[in-house]
Amino acid sequence: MKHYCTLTRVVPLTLLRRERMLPTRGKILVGMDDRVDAVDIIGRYERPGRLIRLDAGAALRLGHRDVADFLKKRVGESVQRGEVIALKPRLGKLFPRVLQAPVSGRLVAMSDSQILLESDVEETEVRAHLSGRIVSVMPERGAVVETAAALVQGVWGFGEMSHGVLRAVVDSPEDVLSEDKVDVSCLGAIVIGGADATAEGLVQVSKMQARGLILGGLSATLLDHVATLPFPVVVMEGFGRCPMNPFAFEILKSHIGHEAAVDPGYADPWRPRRPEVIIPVPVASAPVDSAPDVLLTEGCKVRVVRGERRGVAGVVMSLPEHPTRYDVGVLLPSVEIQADSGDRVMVPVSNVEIVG
Amino acid sequence: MTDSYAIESILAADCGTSTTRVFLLDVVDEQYRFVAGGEAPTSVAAPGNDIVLGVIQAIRQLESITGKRFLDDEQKLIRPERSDGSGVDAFVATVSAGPPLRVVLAGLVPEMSVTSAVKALSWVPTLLEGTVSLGGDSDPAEQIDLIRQVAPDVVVMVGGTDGGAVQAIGALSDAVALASKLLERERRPELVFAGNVNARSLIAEKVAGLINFHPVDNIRPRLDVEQAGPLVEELETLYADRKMARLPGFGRLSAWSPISVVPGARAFGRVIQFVAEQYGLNVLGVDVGSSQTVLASVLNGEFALTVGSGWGVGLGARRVVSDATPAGIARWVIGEDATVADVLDIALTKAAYPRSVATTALEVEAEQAVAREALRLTAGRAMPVWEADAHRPYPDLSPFWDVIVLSGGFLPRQANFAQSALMLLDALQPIGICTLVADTMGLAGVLGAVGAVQPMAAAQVLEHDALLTLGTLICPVGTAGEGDLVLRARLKYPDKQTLTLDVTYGSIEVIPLEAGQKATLELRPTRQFDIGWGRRGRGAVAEVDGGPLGIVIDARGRPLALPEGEDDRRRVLQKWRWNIGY
Repeated sequence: MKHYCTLTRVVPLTLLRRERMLPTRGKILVGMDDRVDAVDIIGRYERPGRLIRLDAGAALRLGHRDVADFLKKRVGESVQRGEVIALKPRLGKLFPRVLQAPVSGRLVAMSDSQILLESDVEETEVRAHLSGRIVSVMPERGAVVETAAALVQGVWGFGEMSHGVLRAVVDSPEDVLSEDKVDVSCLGAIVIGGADATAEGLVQVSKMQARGLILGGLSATLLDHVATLPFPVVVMEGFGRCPMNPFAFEILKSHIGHEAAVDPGYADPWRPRRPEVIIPVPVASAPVDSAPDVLLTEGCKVRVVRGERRGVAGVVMSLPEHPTRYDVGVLLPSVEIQADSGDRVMVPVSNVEIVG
Repeated sequence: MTDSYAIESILAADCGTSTTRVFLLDVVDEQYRFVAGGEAPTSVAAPGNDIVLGVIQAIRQLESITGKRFLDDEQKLIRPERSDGSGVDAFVATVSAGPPLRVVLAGLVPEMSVTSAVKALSWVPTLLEGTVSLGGDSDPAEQIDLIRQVAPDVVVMVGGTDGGAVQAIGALSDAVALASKLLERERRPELVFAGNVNARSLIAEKVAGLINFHPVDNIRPRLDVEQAGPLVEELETLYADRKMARLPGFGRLSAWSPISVVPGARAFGRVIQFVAEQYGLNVLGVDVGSSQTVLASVLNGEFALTVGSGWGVGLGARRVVSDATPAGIARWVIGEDATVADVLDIALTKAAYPRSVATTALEVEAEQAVAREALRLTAGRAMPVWEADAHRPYPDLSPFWDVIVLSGGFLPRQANFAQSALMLLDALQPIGICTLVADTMGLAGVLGAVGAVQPMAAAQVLEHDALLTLGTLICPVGTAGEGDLVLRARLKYPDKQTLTLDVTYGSIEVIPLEAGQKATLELRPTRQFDIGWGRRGRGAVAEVDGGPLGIVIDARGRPLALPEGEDDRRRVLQKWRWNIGY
């Protein structure tokens, strides 16, 4: 019987492409075939501000009457705080009634006597976060960066995309990131933690102004704390203490000191995008990225994602024809895995992911 | 339109958010029967990015099980079935993989139309992202900003009775138009208007050239009349067009089927309607899925669908945690030394790997706890939909159902049916006497689509293969002291043997009655308890169905309450599990 699985991408070298899109229309600053570094700006856009309603009718004492004849600014124009938006002369040129901008911003709409002012519009940049080459440009929208890189996917992420130099604070994926393990070497770095983190450890990483954190597991009780961190966090295995799978850990460790991009992904329950770490590798050529087959076969590299064997990684040895009964009373199609430790374990097919 | 040749073999696919299942139905001994099934991960997201890929993989598994060939060398479905046995005569599909419609509701100051619209939204996979209303203390800028920030798929505008004043609706549509203008054209919402018909032309004028306008019949044409149908139909159309049809590969999937691909919840609803009409009963169908929970019901002939979008045991666990709170979920877990944090870790890990299965006792408990809360939250949404009448005498409780059908990939597929039943009893708290039925293979949803191409196949498979009677639930309404007598039951078996039982408050009693057997049950509740025969204390004699569960008397009272103390809570949960044979 054939079994198909979900897939975790863990690839030491591949030629991959990643979109860098603006959330709204903006200006794209790169062109086709441009070389970009991680810090380079792909494009700029305006992050919407706060809407404020101005009652021009009341300010000019016109009630609900149209104020169009008294306007000094038009929709789309910027105004500075205190600047006159509308003015109604009174007593000749003396003592006019005016409507002034309470804050700096831009007039976005007008309807009879009501005016909408948008304040705090923020020009925001989208950076490449990857060194590579621009292979596609979507005017006003974004661009695609191509790079030869190592790719390691996780399962949960939080924060905004970032980049920095990889530093490990644990020797083993089993270790927990604690306060004492974080030192000045983590300043401005992407920190590789272990099977979990303590709250104090997170504070210390934050103090080091880290640019990202990669963990095997994360206690769900720390989620509120993680939400306050100024850098992205990527969890490789899941919630609760869990060592990072050795395939991912080895790749990350082999790139200590190299620059990496951390993308926390997108946790939309209907169209999730997996978090990932991309480490550009300066090579002349690399195989074009293509997802491997997700048919479970003998010899496949897999990792166990749930149950007592969670965190085990290894190779499929056999796919028994008959299902296996588990202690909780359920009968499930299963797969026999030769773990890295040398043990052979039987786990439900549904609880493994192909790694490749 | 169906194909002209006789349809015998049918392949039915159910594309859920995390798992895609295919079911092969064929004629065996002159009857349509379920033959075999296959499954694979749903492939809507990366790396597949094509819903058909998951269907193909599920079919490949089915091929490896049956030895039959369904796909040609180009991975196209072979149709109709060939003389060598390859292929199938028909293919149908249901889809619940799509995200829900994100809706902002716009109404006049909180009023009946808004309440009616909220009920209408529950029929379709929707997420209500916010409500805007003009009048009172509301700041129009904030209302406009809400629409701009949310950028919903649809703004549903309601308000006013037919023939009433239109000025307020006009102001509301100004706000919607302005908010839409501030959004990029491709992010602008559709506007569905189900209010005062006299305001249609005014609104059409205000939003012309800005957004698509969909006027439908007023949901409250008069204060005493509620008609949700036209709004529900429009939302279903928008869901199909804007969500389902935009799933990657959906066009190819549709091309395989002679009928339209049906939303999973709607297809499940059709089956519940069929069962209710066939037997003239009040029927409730319950399906707790990965990312949504569906209650399909027929009460006094009135069909209703309640979709709990985002509440599920897989991808939806995250939203359940958020809406029910971690402590609300953990209250259903006994787990030796298990903390709320442990339960939370398990629930969120399940959300991260929605296809994974529980293999430890604590994982099973945590998953079932999430299912209980998903069901409880969805039942809360359904409560306003179920009209109060003789079948629903208690406003805060579920109506009296004749039959409850457990369906989907989770509820009926536990290690034993006692676990399934206890989840239902805890979360939904049914009342009175009802037959509990399980859709053991999760066929009910797809049979709703099969019925459109071959009604006989749907009816026969439903009867022979899909539905298994688990037993009878008896749930008295009332409260008493722990250990007080709730009712006296006397069961007369077909072989004339009798069993008499005094059932006390706070317990669950199970009386064995084998599958296929019927027995005569005489119930004499004490005067504090109502078992659905007109008033408290009234007893009667009923024919009841047997099954793997037998007869389950849930004498824990309604509404069900868990003890406050941690030790008491664990003790009571354990007692209930032992009682029911967990």
